[in-house]
Amino acid sequence: MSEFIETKGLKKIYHVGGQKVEALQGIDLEIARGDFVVFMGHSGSGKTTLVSTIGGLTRPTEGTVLIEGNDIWKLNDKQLSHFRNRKIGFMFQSFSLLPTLNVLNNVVMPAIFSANSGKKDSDTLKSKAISLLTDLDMKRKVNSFPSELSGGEQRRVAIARALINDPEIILADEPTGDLDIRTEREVIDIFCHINNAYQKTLIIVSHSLTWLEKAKTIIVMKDGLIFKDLADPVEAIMDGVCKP
Amino acid sequence: MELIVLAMKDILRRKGKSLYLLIAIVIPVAILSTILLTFDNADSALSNLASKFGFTLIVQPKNVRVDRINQIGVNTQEYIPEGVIGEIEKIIREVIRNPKEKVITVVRLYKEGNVLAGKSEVNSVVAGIDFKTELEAKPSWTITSGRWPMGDREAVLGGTYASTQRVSVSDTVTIGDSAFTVVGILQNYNSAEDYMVFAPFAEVQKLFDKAGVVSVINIQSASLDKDKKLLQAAVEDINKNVPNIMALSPQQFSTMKYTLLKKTLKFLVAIVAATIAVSIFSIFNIVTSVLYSRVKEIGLLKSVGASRSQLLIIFLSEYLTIGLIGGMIGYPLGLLMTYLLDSFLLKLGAGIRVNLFYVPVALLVGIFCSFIASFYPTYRLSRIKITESFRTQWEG
Repeated sequence: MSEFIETKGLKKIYHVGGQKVEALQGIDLEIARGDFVVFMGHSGSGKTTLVSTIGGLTRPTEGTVLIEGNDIWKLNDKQLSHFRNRKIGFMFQSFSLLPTLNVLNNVVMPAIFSANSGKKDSDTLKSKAISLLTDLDMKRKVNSFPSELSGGEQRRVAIARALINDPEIILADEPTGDLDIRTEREVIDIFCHINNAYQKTLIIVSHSLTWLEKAKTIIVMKDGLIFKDLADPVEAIMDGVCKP
Repeated sequence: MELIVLAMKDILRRKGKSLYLLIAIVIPVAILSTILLTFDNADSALSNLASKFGFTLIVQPKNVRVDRINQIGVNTQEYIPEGVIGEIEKIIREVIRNPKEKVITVVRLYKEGNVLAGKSEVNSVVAGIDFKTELEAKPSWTITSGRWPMGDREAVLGGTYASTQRVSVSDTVTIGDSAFTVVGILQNYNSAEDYMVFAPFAEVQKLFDKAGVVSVINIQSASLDKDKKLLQAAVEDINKNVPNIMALSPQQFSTMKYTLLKKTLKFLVAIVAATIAVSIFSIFNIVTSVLYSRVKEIGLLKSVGASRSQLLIIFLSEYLTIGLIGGMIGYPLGLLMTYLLDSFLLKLGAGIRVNLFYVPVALLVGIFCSFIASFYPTYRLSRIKITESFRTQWEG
């Protein structure tokens, strides 16, 4: 594994009700290509802010985010949109899918923003989307709408959508937050499959211990700082940063 | 799937809100179309009236308000001395420079008075005319029953006058102390003449003690009809050289009425402007509320790589499409409103003309309203921070 993502002195300050809240207090971090990183920590520890800063969603107050040596926060809106579109596949806990589009169109959706500048063949895209959905055991639902899907099925569609542009990084914020244990395990297995089969770099934010069994790297955050690298998952439970 | 398809799917998803937007656009477009089409019809009716009038030039007493072409000289206490007729004819001859051309001069004397028609006495407009020269100038003037007068004590009645007073051919009408036999009933022309009593010119002069004066002088000349510059020259020369009269052509009369209509139009444009302003304000509110209900969706689109310009394309396509549809519905609705307005209220009688030039105008107004009202909220929302959009409490 070679070095891939690097943050230097990353700070993020929010102004809430006239008060300064330091969500990130100078994070130095390195993530290797092909890593499977899970960020854990209390609510408000800064893990979502860190991940969204790495993903080009939240601009840091200070510091740099280097992806393959390029500072993404020096990009303009169009370049940053292109970066998000090509390099990163996102997954969120809620509101992952557009209710107006069926499963197939939801999966293809990120490609239309790149196709607009690159003129991709829509049939090729649809074939690729169906292939991904087949891989995720969702082929039978290609014409269904999000409201007709279970929580687990919606996650699978969101995963397929995250993979459609063949990004190198998958960022997922609480991807299993509202799922039952069985479905959660299924989704985590899919992530493992993506990491192993597609060699994608996975960056996950979660409270759930189930991830600990599968993640290659676990980073615990506390008060806007990296708390420690966990060698033993039980330690995290003892520190009270994860749900047992 | 393309950005536009994404926008179209959103329109169909939000049917209710899309319908509100559509109504907000259709109303000003329909009102604008109605006003433009009605204005067109009024103009057309006026031109028809002027061309049907049959005379090249009209001379009336000066400082008398010109309201309707067929009412020039009616209801006024001002008269023209008969002596100027020769002077006017001389000027026209000088202008046309063709001694062989036949120039017809038709004079009329209008006077209001009590007329015993049928069983009742009514205040009526009596028109003293020379039937022979009048028919020479206006061969299309038609009577529906009877014949034209040949004697001094014979009269014809306007169609409406005859029917309302229940007078028919061979009956008698009494003007002052003089009885006239009704020998003919005129066809209705949807003009003031439909309500008049026509009697021989000299008799009317005597009856109302108006010897030596006329109310209006109508002139017909083929040269002046053909050449507008000559006509203009004749009008100017008459107005310059003959005192206390005003010469005008039916075309000029149309222009005068057109100017009046334009003034009316300005007022109507103000109404349209107000309607458009209200419409834009309503669209702005609807678009803002719709977009704020879609902030999470915007965040999602941005997170998967939609740039601000792509978001603007998606959302503006939605609203401009609704604007376009609004224009497409507004114009035929305006056409229908014009038809109803003309049929039940204005009764211009010119028929409704489908002016295709107004179709793009209607479409542009619909798109304009939609664009003006939706650009700012769309622009603002396209710049929302992704993480903020996910934190919002609004739900789509």
